[in-house]
Amino acid sequence: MVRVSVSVDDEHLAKIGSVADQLSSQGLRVGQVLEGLGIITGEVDEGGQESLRGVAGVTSVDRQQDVRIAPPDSPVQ
Amino acid sequence: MIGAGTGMHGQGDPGSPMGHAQTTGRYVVVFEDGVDAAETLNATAGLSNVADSRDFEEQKIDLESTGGSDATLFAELGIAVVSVDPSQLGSMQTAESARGRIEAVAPELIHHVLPETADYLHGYRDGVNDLAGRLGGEDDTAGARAVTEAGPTFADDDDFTWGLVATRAATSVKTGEGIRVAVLDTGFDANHPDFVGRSITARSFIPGASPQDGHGHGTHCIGTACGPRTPSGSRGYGVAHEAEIFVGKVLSDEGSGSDEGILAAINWAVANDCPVISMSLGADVAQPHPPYNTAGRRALAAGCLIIAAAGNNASRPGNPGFVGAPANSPAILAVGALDSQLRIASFSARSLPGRGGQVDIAGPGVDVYSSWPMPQRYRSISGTSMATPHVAGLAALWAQASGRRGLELWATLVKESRRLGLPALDVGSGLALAGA
Repeated sequence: MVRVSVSVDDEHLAKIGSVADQLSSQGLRVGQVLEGLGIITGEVDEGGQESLRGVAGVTSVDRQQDVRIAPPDSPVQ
Repeated sequence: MIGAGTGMHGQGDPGSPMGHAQTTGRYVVVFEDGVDAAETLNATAGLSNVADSRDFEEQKIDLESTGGSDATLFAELGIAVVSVDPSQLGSMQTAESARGRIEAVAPELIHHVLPETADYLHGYRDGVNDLAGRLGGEDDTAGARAVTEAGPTFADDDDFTWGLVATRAATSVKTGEGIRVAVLDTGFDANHPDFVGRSITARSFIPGASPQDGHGHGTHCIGTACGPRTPSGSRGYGVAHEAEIFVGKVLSDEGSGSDEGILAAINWAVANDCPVISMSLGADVAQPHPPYNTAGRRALAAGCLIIAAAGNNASRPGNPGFVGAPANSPAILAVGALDSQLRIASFSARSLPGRGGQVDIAGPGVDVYSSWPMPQRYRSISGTSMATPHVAGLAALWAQASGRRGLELWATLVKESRRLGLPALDVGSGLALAGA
């Protein structure tokens, strides 16, 4: 599985719930629907991102990134 | 370009605010907001023969036809140019009737096209080259370095950290009161004695973890942004010391996290109307990450400014690094790090060429003293992570002082920052500052 963040365009902000339903039917296991940001997070099978991009209102589907800071004893953080 | 009064003399006198400026004998009157300017001119100086821009088509005043007037009023600007005698001038400056209505009265200046600058620039270049030679420098940046080396040196003292002094937070009358500042990081040590009595709302976006800080990074950043300015038994280290603190734990105690938690925490901070969202985190990825473009844009539209660390991937002088995600998103303010002599920190990342990839502003980020989880209580560390909460705290002060939010708050930070003799690629608009 691949963890992804899906960005939704302005026109579909008010109906982001139905966009999430459409994404779900296209294979997304919906994690969070962030209404304030117009972003839906979740997991999809490897290679399944392309079918999500076809859903109306979707502007981008991006593999989630990890961030990391230095360990506590590092002088530069 | 035009410049005030410099044409006749070639250069102004830097020791005097007016230099060798030439004046017309008339005065420019600046009115307070919302004041009836014509009525005020009459009440303070007895001027009744006023040419009002509103009487002209599309407010294009015909100056030829205003020759007989005592005053020309530019209504949209709240400014008038007046011909007055000394007693009228004194009345406008001091009369009781002027109080709260007239903001300033200044001599009208004569402006000239600036003189040709080629000789001046050649002279400057020669001077810089000579200086670089004397310093033993061989590259183009030697001149800039020389400027910096002549700059101020700040140091921690008994009262304040060097960063609070350098940013003028130490002497600002603003406190961040009433402003919510969200710090998305490793959490916060709720047992820290310096934060007793503070308004703190904490939430974890790390599954299975509480907001308690098991790393230290988050407690340090919160200390810089929102910690005390006058703690008992230590020096002041917090910029917005009366702000409401929103703690979002998006990094584990091991210091790692993912978009999932960070985006959820941004959403939470926006939903809670936090005008300032501080994120001392990132990935060394040069490509802007679309979800952060989206999140930053919608946060700004909701009046919430996201401020993020430019990154520590530089190793100067050899490798200047690059601004990582999420700071390289166009809708997120990217912060570089300065040392106590206002030089760029060796680790502080440089701007990328693409849109959004620039360093926007800089803050104190070397040997920064702040809170650390108990029992250690305090610690000094370095990083663009430490510069970022300085700027976040300053944003809270400006948000309180001006009422500005979102892009207006961003512009205020940039406009009010201290320009430095360093490449904009490294420090953007320079050192972020507090207002009075």
